[in-house]
Parts: sequence; C-alpha cells; structure tokens
Amino acid sequence: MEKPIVKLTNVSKSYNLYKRKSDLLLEMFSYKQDKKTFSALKNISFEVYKGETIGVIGINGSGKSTLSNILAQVVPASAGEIVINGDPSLVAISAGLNNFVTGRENIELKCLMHGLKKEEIDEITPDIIEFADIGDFIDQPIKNYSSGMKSRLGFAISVHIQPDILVVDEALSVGDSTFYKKCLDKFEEFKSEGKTIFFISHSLPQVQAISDRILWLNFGEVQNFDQTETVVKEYKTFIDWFNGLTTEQKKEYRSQKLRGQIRKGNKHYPSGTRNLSRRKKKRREKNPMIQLSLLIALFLFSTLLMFVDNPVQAIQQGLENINNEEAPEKIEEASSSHAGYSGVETNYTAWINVEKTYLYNDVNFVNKLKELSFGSKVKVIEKMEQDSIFRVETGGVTGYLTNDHFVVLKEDEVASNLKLEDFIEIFPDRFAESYEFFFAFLGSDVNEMKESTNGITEEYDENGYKIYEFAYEDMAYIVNENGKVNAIEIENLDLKPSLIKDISNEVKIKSTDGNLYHLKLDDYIVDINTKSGLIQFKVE
Amino acid sequence: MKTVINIINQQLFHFPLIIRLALYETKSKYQMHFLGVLWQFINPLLQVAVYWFVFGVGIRNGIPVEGTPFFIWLLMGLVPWFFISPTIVQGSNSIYSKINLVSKMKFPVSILPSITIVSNIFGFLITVIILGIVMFIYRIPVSIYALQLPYYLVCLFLLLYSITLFTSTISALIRDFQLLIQTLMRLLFFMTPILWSIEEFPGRFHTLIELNPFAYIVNGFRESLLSGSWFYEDWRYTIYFWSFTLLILFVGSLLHENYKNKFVDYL
Repeated sequence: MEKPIVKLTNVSKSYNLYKRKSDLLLEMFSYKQDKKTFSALKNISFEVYKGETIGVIGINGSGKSTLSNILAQVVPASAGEIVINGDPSLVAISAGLNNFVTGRENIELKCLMHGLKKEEIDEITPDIIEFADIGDFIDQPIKNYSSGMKSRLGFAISVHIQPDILVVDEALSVGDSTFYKKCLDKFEEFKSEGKTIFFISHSLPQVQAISDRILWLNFGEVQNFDQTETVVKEYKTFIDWFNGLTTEQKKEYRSQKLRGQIRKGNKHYPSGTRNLSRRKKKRREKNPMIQLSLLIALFLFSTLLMFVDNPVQAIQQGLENINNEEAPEKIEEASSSHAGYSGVETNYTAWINVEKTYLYNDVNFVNKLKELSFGSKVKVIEKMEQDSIFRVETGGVTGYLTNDHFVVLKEDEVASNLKLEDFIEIFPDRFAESYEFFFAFLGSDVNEMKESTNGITEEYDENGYKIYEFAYEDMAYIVNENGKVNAIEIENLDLKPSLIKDISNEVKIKSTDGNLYHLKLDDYIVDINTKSGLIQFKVE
Repeated sequence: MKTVINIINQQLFHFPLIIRLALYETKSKYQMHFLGVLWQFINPLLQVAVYWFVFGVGIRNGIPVEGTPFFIWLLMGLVPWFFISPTIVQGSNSIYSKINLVSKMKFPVSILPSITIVSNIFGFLITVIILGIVMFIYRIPVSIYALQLPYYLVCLFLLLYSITLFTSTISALIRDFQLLIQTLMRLLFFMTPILWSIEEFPGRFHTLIELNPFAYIVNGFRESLLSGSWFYEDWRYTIYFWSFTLLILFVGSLLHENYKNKFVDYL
C-alpha cells in the first residue's frame, strides 16, 4: 500500500465568536471555554496519494477556504491529526501580495519568503512574468492591478516555486479562457511530475474537468468523497434540489444548518480526540511554569543584589546577626561597645596613607560614614578589641578604620626642612620661570587674581571648588567657596629620580604604594602625586 | 527552556533567509525617497548636531565628561541608541505589519523580529565606522578594553531579540501596545545615560538608573572604547542584565509559541 501524502484524521476547526473586542482580550488571559463557537469543519477525515488531483466543492459557507488554509498549514486545526508530507503552496486571490510595491518586487519578496536564493529567483522571474502575462504592469504597484492581474500573478508565483502540494482556492474564477487553458496545461505538467493538487471551487464544470476525485463539503462536514463521476452526479442532484427551493425555504435550510454549527460550551466534539489532546497539553504546561518561576526568582535576586553595596560582607553580617539571635547576650555586648567597652583609650594624631579610604560606622565595615583622602589628619581615640581596628575622629565625625590605612606621627614630625626653592627643579620649565608671580596670588581674592593674570584657558566647578586652569603654564588655581585662592596645582612635573630624591628623603607621610607624598612647609601644605606628575600647594 | 532553544535554533536554521529578507527590506525602505540611502546618514547627523548643540554647548558649557570631550562621549551613547530605538519600535510592529503576507504561507513567524534587527544592523555599522573616524580625529587611543566590544554586541543583539519577540507578539494581538512602546522608548532615551553621565546623579540614584538594561549596553560601549573596566568587574550588574534578558526571552518565547498560529484568527 502506498503511503498517503496527505492524511487528515478527525480534523475540526472552530472559531470563537466575539461580540466585542474586549471579549477577545479576556479570552487571551483565561482558559474559560464556555463561549460561543462556530465550527467551520467537523471531524474531517480523508487520505490523498501522490500525483492525485482532488477537487473540493461545496456551496458558500461550507468550509472550503478553511480546509484550504488547513491544507496549506497556514491555520492550525482545533482538533484532530494532520499529516502532510511535502511543501504546500496556497494560491488564493491576491494572496500574500504587498499592495504598495511593484509586481517585480512582489515576485522577489514572495520567492525570498519561500526560501529561494537570489540566483534562483533571477532564473524564474522571467518565467513568472511570462506566465502571468501582465506586460508593462509588472513595474507598477500592485494596487493599480485589476483583480484578474492580481490573481494571475499570485498563481504564477505559487506554481513556479516548485511546491509538492498545490492548493488552489478559487483563484481561477477570475481568469479568462486563455489563462484558464494555460493553467490546465500547468496542472497537467504538475501531475506528470507526480505532484498533488487540491482544486477548490464552487464551479462544478471546472472541478469536473480537472479532478481525479472530488471531496464534497456541506456545512463543515464531508458529504461525499469519491470518484469524480459519482460525486458530480450527487452534487448536481443536490444543487437542483437546492435551487428548486423558494427563497424562504433556502433561508430556512441555511439557518438550520448554521445553527448546527454554532455551539455553546465545551462539549461540541463528540470524538475523544480533543479531550485527549487537552490533557496532553496540560502536562506539558507544568514544566515551563516551574522554569518561569525560577527565572523570576533569579531576576528578583539579582535585582536585590544590585541594591546591596558589598554583598559578601552583607551576607557575612547577615549570618552573624543570625548567630547573634541564637545567643542574645552577645548582642548586648556588641551594642554596649560604644559605652566604653573593651577599647583602650589613646590620643594620637595620624595621617591617612592610602589614596582613598572610608570611615565606617561600625566595626564590621558595612556602613560608610565619610570618604577620607590621602593626607587627611585624624585623631585616634580608641583601640578596639580587634587589634587592627581603631576608633578615630576627624572633622567632628567619629568612626572606625583599620590601622593599615593611617600612619601615626606627631604634629611637629610632619613639618619638613624643605623650602619652596627646593621644588623649582621639578617644576615644568615654563612655570619655573614665573613661579614667584603665581605663588603671590595664593591666599588672595579671586577677582584680584583674575584682573592681574591672563591666560585662563578654562574654568569649572569640582567638589564645590572653582578651578581656573592655565593650560599654557601647566597649572591651575583652586578657589574655595569664600572666593579666596586656596591652592595652586602644577602638573607635568619633571620627576627624574635624581631630582625627586632630595625631596623624597624629607617626606614623612607616603602612601603605602609609594606614589603619594604629603608634607608641610612653613607656609604651605604640599601634596605630590608622583604617578601622575602633580603637585599641590595649599595655604592653611 | 525547550521553547527558547527551539526558537533560537529556528533563527540559526533560517539565518540565510533572514539575511536575504533583511537586505530586501533595507533596499526597499528608501526606494520611494529621492535621496534614497542618504537618509541613513542625514537623520542621525541632524540629531547628533542638535543634541550636541543643546546639551553639550548649551547646558554643559562644553565641559568634558571625565576627561573625554563631550562630543565623543555623546556619540558613544547615541550610536547604540540610534540602533536600539528604531529596532524596538519597528521590531514590535514586525509581526503585525507582515502578517498579511505571512498568513498565506508556511513561514517561521519567529524570524520576523530578527529580520528587523538585521536590516537595522547595516545602518548601525555605518554609524560605528563614523564613530571610529571621529575617535581617530580626536586621537582617542584604542585600548585593550576594546576587546570586550564583541561581548557587548552579543548582549545588545540578544536583548533586542528578546524584547522584540515579546513586544511583537503582544502588539500583534493588542494594538494599543505598539503606542505604549513608542512612548516608552521616547522616555527611555532620557532615562538612559546618553546625554548625561551617571556620575552627575547622587550616589543613591545610581542603582535605580542602572536597572534599565540599556544603561548596561551604553555604559559597556563607553567602558570598552574609553578604557574603563572589564565587564566582569561589575559582576552583579552583569548577572542582573543576563537574568533580565533571559526572563524576557523566556516569557516572549512562551507567548510566541502559544500564539504563533493564532495571529490570523485574532486580526
């Protein structure tokens, strides 16, 4: 027995009937099934073999177009099993043509969408144009075409893309006799290549001429599926009977049949297939739901993570808190630490010796209080229980620091014996020429400075200070909020080891990485960054 | 996960088809205009000029951002955005606008958003080349961090596909959604650090701004081109970005799989 190329088993297709657009929305979000449905096809079963031409016939509203859509795999069936071995191609009037571009571009687009390559398209385009026989109109937009031209073009494209199964839906009814003849020739060619054709029409003579077998649909059900002669005879009898009815009777017959197709509720499929397929679906749905909730959990967790400053420490602290809850007496210890517990009181001055650190509110270093930059002076008040942690005070703020972030020195130990002149050697040449002039404005009013100098290349705000840059002299003034020139910053220093050595020997406060120097002259506080070649002189 | 893998496989399997249709789309997009492909340049150039004038010269006084000239800084944000914004707006409409063509044939609907993305890549490449030329003129050195640019491009494409798959499915069913997307994209332009730097906000807002996944991409572009940091240094942000993308991709795939055959019924 030969394998069927198309096999439909108990296929049904139903459409939901909505009164309003909002009903459609509701249906999308709920699985409720108790609504009006219209079953366009009911329990259709048939088999078709290779090389057959099948005519599908029926009066208006019998489900012919729905069947053609299902055969072309454009629309899924609501229930039942469909097996199609091959590539179907649907020809319907003006099907899938873009109205706003030319015929030639439509050919290209349709062929592209069917997966053809550029060269293949170039090869078949002349054939398509020739077959469609629309002449110069090929370079006109489709919207200017007559309906005959549209269907001819659609038909020409569909037959030239080499489908295994051709589904022709009423497409020939608009062509004239020459085109009709051409189509018949094409069908013969198809047949001889062993391809399957579904020819859907309500015109009995056309169907009769082409088909090997005819499928007669009547209001969604297969009335008959047999050799052409048999079905034609029966259909003719039916049509004669139907046409013999009065208008009233026709109406009555139609509405009676239609009423049979419209159902309410869930039980409109007598066969078991639908229930079976639903049950299968439910089981499948469970798995994605678990995955979805996992993904949502991951997303929420990562969002939460974004809001925690230092996750590892926070987790550690969280764990400690849990431990603390288990041992309540420990909490008391921890909270009483501020009230003089365990600390050894001290009284040193110290200087920060890292580029940047933070003063923390607690000994676990979670909540930052204040940023401390290199060279800031702090007062060490208390040595904590843990050896490396100290309570310090600076600018009225008290917090915790580890001892590797500061160096303890007496006030007078910071002062150096260096003079301003000792720095001339490392200044850039141009600035060295006139350094006395520029230093003269340190501590004076900003307006005085502006009037007496020229060459300001840029001015901007930074951390509440106003910066006046003199790009040509490699320097900038820093003016504080009171309008006083507070500091001078010089860049592009010449930091050859031989030059910096004398200075370096005198410096008491160096950062741990050795890049930053902090020292005190008689009149200035000096900060040097040897890495970026910057020096800053600040008046107290 | 099976649906997600399925959909990604479809993209790979139909990749030649995507390229061919994207080329067709780019070609036909400007065919009806007298200036044709020139619009690919005119449109972004005008916008860059206006933003630079208003925000750079006017509001910012021409002050550089963290040592980079504002013009370059702005360009590095605008180049990805000029790709992101139209792709999402057109991509969300991709299924709806093509459904009439597609409904009469067997066609993998899930590649429609990809076609929009790929067809916009051509314009994106042009703007990236222009950015490269401008960087050369300004003598911005290319550092080793530029090596992570492909990583951010992969992030960008995946994020765009995830979002457009999700939005195109919904906006084919609910037309109002398309309008919502257009409005949202216009707002997101100002909510993403393109015209401004994240540093200009107080610290407590930083995380809030970073929750926008496009900020990850735009920041990443600047980090790569201005030698900032490696993407794994801010691993929390990277995890956040990927979990966001995966979630959207997953939800989008489920929805798409559920409705791909029913689009015709709903229209």
